[in-house]
Amino acid sequence: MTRFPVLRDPVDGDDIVQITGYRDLRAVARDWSRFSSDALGRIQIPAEDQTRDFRQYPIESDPPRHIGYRSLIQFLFNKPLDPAYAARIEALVDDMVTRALAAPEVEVVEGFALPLQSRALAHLLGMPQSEADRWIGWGLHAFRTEAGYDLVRARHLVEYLQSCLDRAPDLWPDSLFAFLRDARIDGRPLTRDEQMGYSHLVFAGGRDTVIRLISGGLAHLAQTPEALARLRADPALAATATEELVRYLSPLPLLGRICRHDTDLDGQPIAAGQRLALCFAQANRDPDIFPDPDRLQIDRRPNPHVGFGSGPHSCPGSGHARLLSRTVLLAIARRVQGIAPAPGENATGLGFSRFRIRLT
Amino acid sequence: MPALTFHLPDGSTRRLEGQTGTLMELARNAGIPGIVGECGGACACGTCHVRLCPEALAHLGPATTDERNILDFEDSAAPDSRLACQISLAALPDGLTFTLPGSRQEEAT
Repeated sequence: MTRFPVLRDPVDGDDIVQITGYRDLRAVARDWSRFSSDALGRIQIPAEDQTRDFRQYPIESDPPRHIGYRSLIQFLFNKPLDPAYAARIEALVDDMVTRALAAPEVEVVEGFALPLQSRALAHLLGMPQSEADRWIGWGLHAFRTEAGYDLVRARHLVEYLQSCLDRAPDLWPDSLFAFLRDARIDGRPLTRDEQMGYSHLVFAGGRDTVIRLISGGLAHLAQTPEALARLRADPALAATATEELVRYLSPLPLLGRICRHDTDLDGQPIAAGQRLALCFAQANRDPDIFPDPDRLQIDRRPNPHVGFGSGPHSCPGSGHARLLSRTVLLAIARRVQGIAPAPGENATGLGFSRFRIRLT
Repeated sequence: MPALTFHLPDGSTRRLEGQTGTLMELARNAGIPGIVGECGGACACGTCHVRLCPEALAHLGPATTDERNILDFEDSAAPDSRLACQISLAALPDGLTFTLPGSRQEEAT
């Protein structure tokens, strides 16, 4: 009898040891010397090493090198802390809420969350909104479908990012892409693969996750009128509601590590090369940590969830995701009297791909 | 209004006064480096970790179980560590001192 259940990777058939308990997960996530992220496309589950031939940075590296890789772009992920940046996101959200109020109905995934995420990402990366229009056209995920990975779309993304790096110094000198062209690490310029690795992570990691967070929050408010009433009465709940949505939805449900040497985990042998899954979604429902874990409570506090991961690889974009979610919830609290499923909408729960709502 | 002292990672000190809200909000609003308060005080992120002087620890007590769920996994956490978002400024006595640990990036080594 083993303590840790096993999951089979649908892409390559690997058996992956699942870490589902909250405390186990946090311990493994910080133990990078035993459980490594240093592998190309193998910490994602399903594995995505067929979709690219370069590493994502900073995620696919371990300390101490990881520290330099992450520090290099920390400035980007600190932008949401700047009040002037937050004001730009507020204006963007206000405009979208105004349109949603004027429309007979809004589809929350592709009609609201996707354009919001893409337009906000253009702000974050210093890119024009005309590029955001292109990203919106890609849909929910840049290269993943219900059936698995779409290798043609994966190649198109790689080609697009290469062209962004090529054109950025002339067209977008204040963009992330231009920054990466000039950036140096360990006293040398970034290699093209490193520039691509940073660029790719931005589109792979922060896209469908943020979209699920925003759309799930709107659907919850449509399905739960008392939650909207509480939020309207106390808009400060936008902060705790955001944390609770991240916990409850766990937009990135799991992410892997690779065992570096033969070792054991709580008495169970783990062989070198074994993949492990940090199951954030299950840890976020651990009843030892979260009372009544299957209930979404927008005022849950404290809420030490692992929805953004834990340890040195915790999500660098968490500040931006939090800003977007809070700003949407605040705008709704101040400007929206009612949210209801649109006529004929019969999706239930928060695991949908489409959900139509009506705002009043 | 209590006057509080913050020891920063670069060795300098800052003195702040406040009587409403939390220690995290006071420090963040004053731009104390290292106090981010990213989760807005929901006890979810650990980005407002401070260490308490003995007088503050005696007055406020050690971290609660909920704080420990965050702090147990911070390499720089110590028995005198707390999350500033869980410390109310109301009825805080004068003269307490708080120390900022190094950045999360440094701790990862």
